[in-house]
Amino acid sequence: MEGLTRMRNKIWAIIALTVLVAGACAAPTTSAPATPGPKLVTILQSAEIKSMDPSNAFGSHEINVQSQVFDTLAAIDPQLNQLPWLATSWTMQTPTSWQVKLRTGVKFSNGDPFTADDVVASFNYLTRKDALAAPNFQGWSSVEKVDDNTVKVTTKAPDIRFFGELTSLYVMPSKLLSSGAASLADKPVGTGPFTLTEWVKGERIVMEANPNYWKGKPKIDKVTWKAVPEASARIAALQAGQADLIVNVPPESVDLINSGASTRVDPAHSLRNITLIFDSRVKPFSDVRVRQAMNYAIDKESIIKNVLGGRGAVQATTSYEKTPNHNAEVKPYAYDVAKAKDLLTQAGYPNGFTVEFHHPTGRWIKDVEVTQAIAGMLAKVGVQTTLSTGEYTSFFNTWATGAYKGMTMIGTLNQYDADQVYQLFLYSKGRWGAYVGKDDKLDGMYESQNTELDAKKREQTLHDMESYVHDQAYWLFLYFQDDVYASNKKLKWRAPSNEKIWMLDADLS
Amino acid sequence: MTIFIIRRFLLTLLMLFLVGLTVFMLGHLSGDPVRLMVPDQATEADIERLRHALGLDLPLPIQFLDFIGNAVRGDLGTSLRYRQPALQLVMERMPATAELSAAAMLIALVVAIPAGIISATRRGSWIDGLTSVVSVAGQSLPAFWIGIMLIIVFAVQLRLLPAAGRGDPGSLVLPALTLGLWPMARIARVFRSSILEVLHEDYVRTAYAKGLRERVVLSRHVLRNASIPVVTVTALTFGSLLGGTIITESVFAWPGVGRLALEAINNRDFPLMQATVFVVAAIFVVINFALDLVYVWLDPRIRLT
Repeated sequence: MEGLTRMRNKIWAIIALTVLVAGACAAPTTSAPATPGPKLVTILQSAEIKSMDPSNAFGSHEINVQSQVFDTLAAIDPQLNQLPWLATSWTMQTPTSWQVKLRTGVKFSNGDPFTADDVVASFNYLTRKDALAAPNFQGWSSVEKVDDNTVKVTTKAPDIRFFGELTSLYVMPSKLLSSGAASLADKPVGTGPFTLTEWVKGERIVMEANPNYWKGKPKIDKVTWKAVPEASARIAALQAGQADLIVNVPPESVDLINSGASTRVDPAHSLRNITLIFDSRVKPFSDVRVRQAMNYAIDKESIIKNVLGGRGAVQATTSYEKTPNHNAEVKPYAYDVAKAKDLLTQAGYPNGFTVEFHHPTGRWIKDVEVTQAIAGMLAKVGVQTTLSTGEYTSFFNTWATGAYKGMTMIGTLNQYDADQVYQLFLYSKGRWGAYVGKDDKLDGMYESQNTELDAKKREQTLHDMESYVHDQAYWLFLYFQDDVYASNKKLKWRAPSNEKIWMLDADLS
Repeated sequence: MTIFIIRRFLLTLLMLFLVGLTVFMLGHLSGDPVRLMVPDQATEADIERLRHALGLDLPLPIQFLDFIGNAVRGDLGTSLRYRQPALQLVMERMPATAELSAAAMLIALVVAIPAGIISATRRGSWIDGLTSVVSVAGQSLPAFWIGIMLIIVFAVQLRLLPAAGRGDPGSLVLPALTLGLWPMARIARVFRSSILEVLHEDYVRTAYAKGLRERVVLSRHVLRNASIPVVTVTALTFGSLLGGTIITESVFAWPGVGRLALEAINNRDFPLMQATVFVVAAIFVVINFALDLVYVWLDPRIRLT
């Protein structure tokens, strides 16, 4: 028995020692030290960064990190202002050729000066055959150097989306691209506001302010990016002072964070619209009255208030109010059960019908709960839904082939121009346009604005398209979801509407 | 013995092949990732071009044979998303997972072994009661919930330890505790019942009858014989810990193989999915094999058969 006691004592000693060591190692780490020390910011996103190479960026979490190191030719800021960036001006010379003037006096973090050669080499690199970024340059056929500070862009046809392409052109140094582009994935060299100083794969990415940045050195000295997939762990880290900024805060945690002494929620209206796309090719949704009835049957305000915690904006038509060429005249469908029933009766469905309803799980904020709320509201007008839930990848792959019947929940981001969603979802020859069926009028309007170089005329056509699609009710228009960030109250920054975190003008008080 | 090893080895190869086939089929059945990888503006032609560049347009049986052929030569393919060799990515993450699993196992053993001994020899005592309660809790509470609770108490309320991530040594404590609770509970229960069983053996009674002191009986006769099931459970649990790390690593943002596997599945990064499963399966097999050798050492009778 003595032996046992001794063993027991030893074990207690080990446990006590472990606790002591653990306690000592875990000296509280505050990321916002008292002034005037360096200003350090830790940002927690939900997914890991796989590559720093902008040609293989995937998802806004990677673009966020890469954009601190690399600049583009033009930029869209968190408030959706469209700005010249490394390009200072661009002018159309013939319908298919543009002259782009470049900023002078800009240097890469390795000291190389930024010139037209870098733009040409970057375009060629971004559009090589296995680059994920290549489809961003649909409209462009080539970029040539005119002189050190000027390039000529040739487009395949008159390119009304020229600005969008400028915002996709991340500039990398030509010397590096020709000698060893592979190293960009680990050791990026750009002209951006920060330079990467440390990357422990899977753990953290550390970047320091670029003292020679052409817009002036950022006020934040050091930014650390980490990936924490669990929302509750991100929130805990923010509350514990181990992070200054976190993404994707679920609605139920908003009050908790706002009640904290040092934490605050930063919501931003986003361009992410959540909508139901009807299969208008076949009955019952081939009848416009049925589609309208569905729009009248849903109480969007109630969903935003009760499911999303008030964080969302009702959608009237296909684009967001700040999207260029948005038609502000179009008003959302009212919630009117009687009218919905009336329209269903006129269409020959006095007792409603049963329809498939496809949706992903965990992709958009409260997607499953919203789906259930919609199913309940539709039941009130006699429409029964068969819910089909899918994990996003397989859900999306199947939907993209045009195989889903009934209606499907889809979320999309449209930021450059109101026509973006038409190109993808509503033009019958577009990538996922099949669900509309055949609408020659809509196709005609889309095609005419697509080559219309007169901005006024084009705006008019897009306004007509938005009110037409509203009346035709090809979608069940729902809402634009808010993106909810949370931060340390000392951090001054602007929550973005386009999922893009800007650190270049952030500050810590 | 030699025939036994050869047979084991061939069975292992067959198992790895079946594991590979299953992972391959399940992965590809749910569709390829190309549509999700390209920007919205991409046309069907862009998608086809990328699919071709990544070799995903070949018939599935050809892709599978390519995969097996390369795997035999030690090449598990290139990750679709990282654009780096998949095996290298898995091995880069292995130290983090090994560190976490070893720490979890250490915590489990340090607590479970004395708890098992005491609760078996002092049956009905308060320690026995506590061990039972903790064992039931440890085996029934989900790691996900335990992890979040530990974060709230130790990181948010007490501010003693980091909430997530891997960095300073303190960051290991909470994930290791979360991961270690389940094996702790399991080993303590197995050890307790195993000791109780041995205590009723004739040779234990004989030892007491010879006048040996309790300490000697326990250490020389009981513990050694009672430890065989514990070794089995410990080794097999260690193997399954590698799977258990998927949840723990996600909760604590621990950059190990479990989280890599989860991301690979979400991204349909086929080569990376296959590489993680392969490596984990191989480790499991090696552990099983090592286990057989330990049996031989613990129980000389096995050597004779």
